[in-house]
Amino acid sequence: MSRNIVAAQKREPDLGEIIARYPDVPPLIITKIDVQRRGVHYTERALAVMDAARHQQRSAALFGSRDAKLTPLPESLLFRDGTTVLTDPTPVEENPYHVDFLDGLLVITDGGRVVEEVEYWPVPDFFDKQTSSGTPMKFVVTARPQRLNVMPSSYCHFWTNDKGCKYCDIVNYLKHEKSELKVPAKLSPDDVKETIAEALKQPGRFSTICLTAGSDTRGTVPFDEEVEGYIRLLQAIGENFSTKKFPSQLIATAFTEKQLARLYEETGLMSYTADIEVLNEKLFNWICPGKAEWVGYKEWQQRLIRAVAIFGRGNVNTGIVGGVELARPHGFTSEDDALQHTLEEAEYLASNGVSTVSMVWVVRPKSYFNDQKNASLDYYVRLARGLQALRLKYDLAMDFDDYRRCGNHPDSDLLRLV
Amino acid sequence: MSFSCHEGLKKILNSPDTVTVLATINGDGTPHAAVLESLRLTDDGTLEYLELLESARSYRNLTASLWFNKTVSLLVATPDGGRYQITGKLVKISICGAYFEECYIRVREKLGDMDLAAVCFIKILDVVDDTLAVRFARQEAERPFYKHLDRLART
Ligand code: SF4
Repeated sequence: MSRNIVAAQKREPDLGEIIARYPDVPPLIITKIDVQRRGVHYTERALAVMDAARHQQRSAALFGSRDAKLTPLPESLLFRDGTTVLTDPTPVEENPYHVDFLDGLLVITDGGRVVEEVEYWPVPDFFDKQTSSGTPMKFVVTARPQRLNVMPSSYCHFWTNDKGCKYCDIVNYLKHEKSELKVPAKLSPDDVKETIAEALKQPGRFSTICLTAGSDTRGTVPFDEEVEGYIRLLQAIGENFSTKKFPSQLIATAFTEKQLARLYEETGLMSYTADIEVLNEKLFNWICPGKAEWVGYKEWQQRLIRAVAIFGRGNVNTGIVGGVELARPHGFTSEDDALQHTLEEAEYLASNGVSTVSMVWVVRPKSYFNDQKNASLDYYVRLARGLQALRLKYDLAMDFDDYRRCGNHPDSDLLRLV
Repeated sequence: MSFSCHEGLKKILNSPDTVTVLATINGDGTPHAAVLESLRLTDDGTLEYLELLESARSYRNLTASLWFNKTVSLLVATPDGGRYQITGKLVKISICGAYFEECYIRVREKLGDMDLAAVCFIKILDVVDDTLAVRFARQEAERPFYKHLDRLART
């Protein structure tokens, strides 16, 4: 990130001003957004109290981070209200918040001022175990405070003809991760089943299982291979449960009705997400050329809407990379226009039973958009409020993707009040 | 009047015969009251409340009270007519970690197939003895106009 970007960030209203501007939005959620937006730097004092026996360290993730390193650092943070903050370790020159240990407390600071108390994520019991095939279980299934993450493959076929999403670093990160951590590029259903079984031995630790990976275009009908892989995994996972259905989420490509029906009927899957990434057709075509080529914007929307009939109202949503609609040179040039347009398109989906959730765009050094800047804090707060207001307007529940079962969407954190 | 005896309050709150009602308000000011099934006073003087249901209105309102820095009110009633008003502030909601898991196991040992949404920690700001006899004596002493004249008539 260039010095100009940091300077521009410093000219924007700061955290205190934005908290005062939006008294209806919890200050902790605004703080979470800003911490995600700017990233964190861990001080030596903060790292000295990280205890590998109690705290989860950075594990194999689908996407890289701002520091482009895999050094042992805490995985992420929790606030005192139970809010998950997925943080990105960020070089000091990029003006991140600091995680420090002061007066016996772990805190985040900004310019030396204590902003909030934090905790490190607790490490799951299964993390130090191996599957019978000898693979460390923490490379098979990763964890958030209350969620198990299964990422069957870190390869996305949209990159085959160089049409990966422009903010995404999955393929470059995969090479890095595979060589440094020896993480398997493809998971075996047996390893996954065994790891989930081990995870379930820890009472009260997990409340959902999320599966996600890159898109796989192969098959008689495009994405049949991807669907088949998920079915195999979900069936293997399902053998651990006494009920056919178990709290679970699949974040995947926008599948056809037939593919979705198979996923719903042949497995224990309970909810479905197909990330549209940006709510504007022109920008979608530019930023997500692979999705545009293989599915198309309008068809992506329709597949989401059709999924509601299969998974049920309140069990289907789509994610957007908040702020990427402002990417240069083709994005919106004003935050007001970007917000208005995004919420209008989100409303169309909401009126058809599909929720939209946003993530804070983290500019990744190994992505095509590596020299861009994410949006202002003000923008992210308005986006979170706007998306939650749509859920209220259309009476859309979204229990499968809330603060506990996900924790990566400031807008869905607000569901805790409803 | 403050109820300052920690051990006394602990005994009352930790007794299975005590009924505690939590009063909260939601974002638009609508009040809500709920009988708490699992509240205890910890050794450091904090109230620990096990919220069993994720969907409970009281859990949502407690979250709002932490988010927007509002107080909550608890009415504690004992079988012998004792009444205590506690004003508190939610300081932490724990939804994971070793202590949460310990509480989860305890809940299930006690209640069978039950869940646990959160462990809520409430800092006590004030405790007032609200027993009728105490309140009446207080009113008699502090508000001399608040009475019917016949009570003062010569007999
Ligand atoms: S679909 Fe886009 S964001 Fe997802 S893995 Fe492929 S390139 Fe990355």
